[in-house]
Amino acid sequence: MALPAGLSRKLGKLLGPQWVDKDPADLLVYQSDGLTLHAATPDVVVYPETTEQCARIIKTCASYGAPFVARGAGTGLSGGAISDGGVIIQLSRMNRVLQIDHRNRFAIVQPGVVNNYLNLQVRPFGLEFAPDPSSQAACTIGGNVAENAGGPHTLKYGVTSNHILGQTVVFPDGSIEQLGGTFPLAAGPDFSAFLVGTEGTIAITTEVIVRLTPLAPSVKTMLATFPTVAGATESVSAILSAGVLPAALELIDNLCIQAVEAHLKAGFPTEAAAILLIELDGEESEIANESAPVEKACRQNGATDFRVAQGEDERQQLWRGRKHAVGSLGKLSPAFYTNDGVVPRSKLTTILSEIYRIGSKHSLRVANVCHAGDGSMHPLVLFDPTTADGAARAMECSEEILLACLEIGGSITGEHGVGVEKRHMMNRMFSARDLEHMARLRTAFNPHDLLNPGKVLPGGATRGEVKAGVSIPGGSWI
Amino acid sequence: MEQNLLQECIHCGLCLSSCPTYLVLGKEADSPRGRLALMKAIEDDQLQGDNTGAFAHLDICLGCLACQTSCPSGVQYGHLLEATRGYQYVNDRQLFGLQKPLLKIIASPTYLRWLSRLARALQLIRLDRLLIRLPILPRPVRSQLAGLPKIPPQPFTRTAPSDFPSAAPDGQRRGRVALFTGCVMDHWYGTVHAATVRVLRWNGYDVVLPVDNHCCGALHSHAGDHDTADVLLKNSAKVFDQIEADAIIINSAGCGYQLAEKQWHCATGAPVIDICVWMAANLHHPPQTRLGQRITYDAPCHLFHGQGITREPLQLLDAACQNMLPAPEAEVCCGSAGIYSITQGHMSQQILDRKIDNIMSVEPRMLATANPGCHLQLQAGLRLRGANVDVRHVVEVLDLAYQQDDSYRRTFGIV
Repeated sequence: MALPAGLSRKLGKLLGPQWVDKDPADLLVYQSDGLTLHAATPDVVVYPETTEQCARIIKTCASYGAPFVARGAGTGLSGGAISDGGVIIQLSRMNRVLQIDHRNRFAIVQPGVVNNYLNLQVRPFGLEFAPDPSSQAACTIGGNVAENAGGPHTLKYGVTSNHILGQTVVFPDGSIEQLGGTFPLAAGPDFSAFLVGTEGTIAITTEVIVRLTPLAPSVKTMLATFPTVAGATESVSAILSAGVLPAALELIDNLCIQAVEAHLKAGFPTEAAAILLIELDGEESEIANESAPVEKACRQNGATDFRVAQGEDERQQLWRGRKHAVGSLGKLSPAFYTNDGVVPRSKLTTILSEIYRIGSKHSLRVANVCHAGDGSMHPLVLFDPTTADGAARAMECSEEILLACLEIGGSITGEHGVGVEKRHMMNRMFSARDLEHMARLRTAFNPHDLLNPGKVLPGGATRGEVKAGVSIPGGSWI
Repeated sequence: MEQNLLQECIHCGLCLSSCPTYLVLGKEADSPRGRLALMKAIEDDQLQGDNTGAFAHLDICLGCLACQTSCPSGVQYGHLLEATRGYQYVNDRQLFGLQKPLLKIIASPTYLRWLSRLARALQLIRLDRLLIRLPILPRPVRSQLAGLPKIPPQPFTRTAPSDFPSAAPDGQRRGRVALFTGCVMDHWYGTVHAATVRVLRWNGYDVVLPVDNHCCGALHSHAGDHDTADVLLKNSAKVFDQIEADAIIINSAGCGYQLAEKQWHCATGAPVIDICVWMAANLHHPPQTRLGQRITYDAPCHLFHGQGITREPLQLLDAACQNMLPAPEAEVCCGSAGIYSITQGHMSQQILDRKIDNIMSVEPRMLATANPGCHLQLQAGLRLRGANVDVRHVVEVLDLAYQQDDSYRRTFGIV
């Protein structure tokens, strides 16, 4: 759709013309986020630097009836940051760490601060921002808040919502509000927490007060090798039943291992059906006590090898392999579709064998990486984008996998959000009544549906359909 | 262009935060992922025949290759960029009026000689010091003048003998190496060549200098002028065809990358090895006393990202210095990027500002690097900032550490 005349000129006056992009080449690059199966082109992209500028942009858009979407680094995997027409409010210039209070363990940051960058800033104080999505080298805190991002270490430390103390937000009418504060024990409901995970459909976050967590005094990373996938999944439950709460408990299956070793060479055993990457952290004595039960749980479930990373270099190498596992699949297949499902932990064995069955039914290879401790999985469906129905078959296979998750009491998304990708599956997970409540809640804050329209909720509330059929799906973190 | 190489980008965005222009501008079109999308758009003619907008974003790419380091899928960004720029070059679209003349000057020893004489004349009458302070001159111009080393009257190879015998303190001769003397290195950074030769000899190597070795065409390749680059590469190979040596040592990261990337080799098949790698493996006589100054290292992109040479320079600096201080973002580009500092002066200076902030945060007295472009750019940024920090090649730092030793100075006649 074409923008109302005069809007981009007004935006140019607000920000300076160099911070308003409207040429085809400038807009083309915003067609997709990390999920390229869905593409849509905005009419304008603006780059504010302050909360006040965001508010004025939003007021201007609202006065013209133009829709707007907030976007960070565009590493999302559900198409949540694309905009079919309308205005993308690109927050990458709002990338300053405004305050670090190491004694009270919080930091105030702008939403465009990259997760890793924040961690580099606070590490000298012995602190970290705990949520560590695998995209943390590039993804922004604003995006982490919008998606309620997780990561390998959420097993012990919780997801993003556990680490947000407060926010400054701009509502779709342009009003600026401060929610929460610098300490967690404020009176009244935690309204800031409600906004975490709303995928930018209620308000745009322009400042975040994050909780900082002390770095563990020591860390030990272990790698267990299994000749069967079931051995690995059963070990997950066994480890947790033994009373150990690892900082991270990750499963990587053979196909993923092959991809990693083809390019990155993290030192994963290529003959393994699956490996578990287990990280313990805490006091050294505590870790020492926990190591034995972990090894025992793995050995009892058939682990053929169990090794401890020697030194920080090897540890980093293993994690690099894990965090870049999905990205390295590009070496095995020109295209793959990244899924995100959750099942109760005890059902991991069942779901993984079901996933392989569904894959072979569709004659598609499926690789798996799982935050196994949380029952969160990322089945990656490899396909050939050059065949006419390659992408369609991959999507069909993926949908079947997610429905299988639902059937055994799981969810269609753990970390990646709904965005545009899973809108049509929301009614498989929620009742009509649930969805109606969600829609009413959104309408209360976003009455004209100008903020991030067409996302999350199925049907209605959408401006134009999202185009499908782009050839290279991707996504690399999870 | 290679469609299948473009396909390797899975659009994950992990490259974004490593890209210097994205760090400054925050625009997707000025990020590696955005540029790959634009290359694809040019390739598929998605922009209705008007690629001007797309090329503008490709033009301000430094070609620093930091995105290759951060890419989980191993996308060959540098290769794709040069291919796209080749298309642009062939179609005679100039990035900037200055680009072609500059490339011509660099390709020709005669022109480069005249440019050097002009710069030397400016320096002799101290006009450069004045011009640097003239606010009406655009900052990129002042920056070039501020960064220039003291230009010697003659290129290094004109003043030096062509064969140096080893001069190890234990008298042991360990081999024979040739030095790739290059263009700008030879004309402007003779001091680095001199230090390279001394350090090699002290560690037991005979050093041979080639006759009429000139430019390797790195800058031409980066700009997409592949024809000139091919000629220059061939000429450089001829020069080494007759030289028997265990290795060809190179002390310019950009040239080292070019030779590796283009699989350059001469008739003897002698491998090309960066001085940092060679010395880290062959430091037979480490300095007996280490330098005391506060020093930091800025990694040249074509060493770190281009060739994956990350540890060796630090090992050498550790052997030469007591006070090595890691600066933040040491592996992010300084904005030099060959002639980028002239053709895209404005962006180059913004990137340089961020770099100097990071360097000064550790308050060094000396800054080590390993590439002539970075050398000039960093020295410029520091001088314009009024910071008294001496920029040196890693091998010069090593040489300075050796110079604390009387016998080293005596051997090489250093007063």
